[in-house]
Amino acid sequence: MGCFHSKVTRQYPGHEDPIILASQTAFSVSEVEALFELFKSISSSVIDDGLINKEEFQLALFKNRKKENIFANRIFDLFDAKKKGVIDFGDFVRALNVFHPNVSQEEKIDFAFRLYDMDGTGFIERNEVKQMLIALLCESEMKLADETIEAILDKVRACCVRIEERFLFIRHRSPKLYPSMHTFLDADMNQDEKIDISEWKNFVSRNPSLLKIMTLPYLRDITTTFPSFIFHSEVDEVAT
Amino acid sequence: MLYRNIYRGEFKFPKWTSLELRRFISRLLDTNPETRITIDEIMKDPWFKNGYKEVKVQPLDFEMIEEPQSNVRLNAFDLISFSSGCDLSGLFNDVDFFTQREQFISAEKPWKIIERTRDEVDKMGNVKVISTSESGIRLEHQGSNLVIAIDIHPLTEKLVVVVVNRRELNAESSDEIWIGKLKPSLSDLVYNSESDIAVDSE
Repeated sequence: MGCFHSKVTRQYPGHEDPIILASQTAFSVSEVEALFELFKSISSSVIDDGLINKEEFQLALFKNRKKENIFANRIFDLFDAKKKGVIDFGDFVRALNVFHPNVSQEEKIDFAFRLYDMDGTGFIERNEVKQMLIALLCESEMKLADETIEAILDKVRACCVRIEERFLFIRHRSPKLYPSMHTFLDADMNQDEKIDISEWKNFVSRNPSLLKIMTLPYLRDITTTFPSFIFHSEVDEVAT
Repeated sequence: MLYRNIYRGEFKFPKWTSLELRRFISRLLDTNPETRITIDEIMKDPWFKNGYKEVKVQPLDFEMIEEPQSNVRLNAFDLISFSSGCDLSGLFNDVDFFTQREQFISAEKPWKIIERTRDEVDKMGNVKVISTSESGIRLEHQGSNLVIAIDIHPLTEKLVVVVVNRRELNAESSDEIWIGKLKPSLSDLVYNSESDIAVDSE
């Protein structure tokens, strides 16, 4: 058992013990092993180094290794937790875990926020949303007048500003009771073109369809999709 | 352990199973695909035939049950999430079946889009309408497992986004039917923003 693991680690840098990965995620040990089969095929598709690079990721996602897409780029960056420019098996399992149907909404909301916060400032800015919107329209060959785009962006801001309006009301009525909120608002009022994580959470709670991309039902059936994992199983007797 | 048993075809029957049932199960769990029971043989098996009633099965419309919020307008993030880059199911794609999604904007009313689709499908002959609703239509191809699901979401007062999802076991007939025939026949429904854009100085 120990020998197998170290042999695999040499071929697959960053490979972690499936039992440990299973204990840290919503996957069972068998599911982690099935994921390893998937990982092996993706990570060897361009360079056989046991790691997934950007081209291999693009190839797996789009069947086209040269296709660039700002969302896929951002997702790749989020998978690459150690910022090495490549995704190892541990990164792969931990990131896919967020998409598991049984994982908490909290984790999904958080991941989605980081996905849309393209430059990682901790805020989703209006111009980031505009950039993403334009990228989507371009990709789908859809065209919209600029005013329509601005109207769509305004609507997003209106949804988020509602929180501030509530605070504003409180501040106006009882400034003595909420002095810290007073400060918060002053800081925030200049920047109502940004969405922070709490505004995002509120927004998502009112629009739950926003999280649908954060769940992959396929992850529940992963052992039937990649049954060959039993031939390479590192683990002897495991309760499934 | 379970997977090892599956692979080796090792199993034990509970005491209450009849001889016919045991024979049937053994033929189902045959690890050799050449000798394993086929669908036709299943239909003829004595245990299976006993009390069997034929049921017409609807093809799955892949997790796209009609949502009650079909009147709610899409917001910026809904739109953004249509990007293929946001859809990780591509990682699992060519294993079981092929799915493809595309969308276009239309200035037509949903009922008109659905009616036109129905008309074009009727002309095609080999594609059938399985179901319709106020905001969508489901189609099935008679020669393959191709299912096409069209859903219409309001975007602005005048505009809607039409989302077309296709699913089947291989891409060829899907491309031929959608890209080759149905999509071009509906191309006049696609919104052309050029005629609406005011000239601006930038």
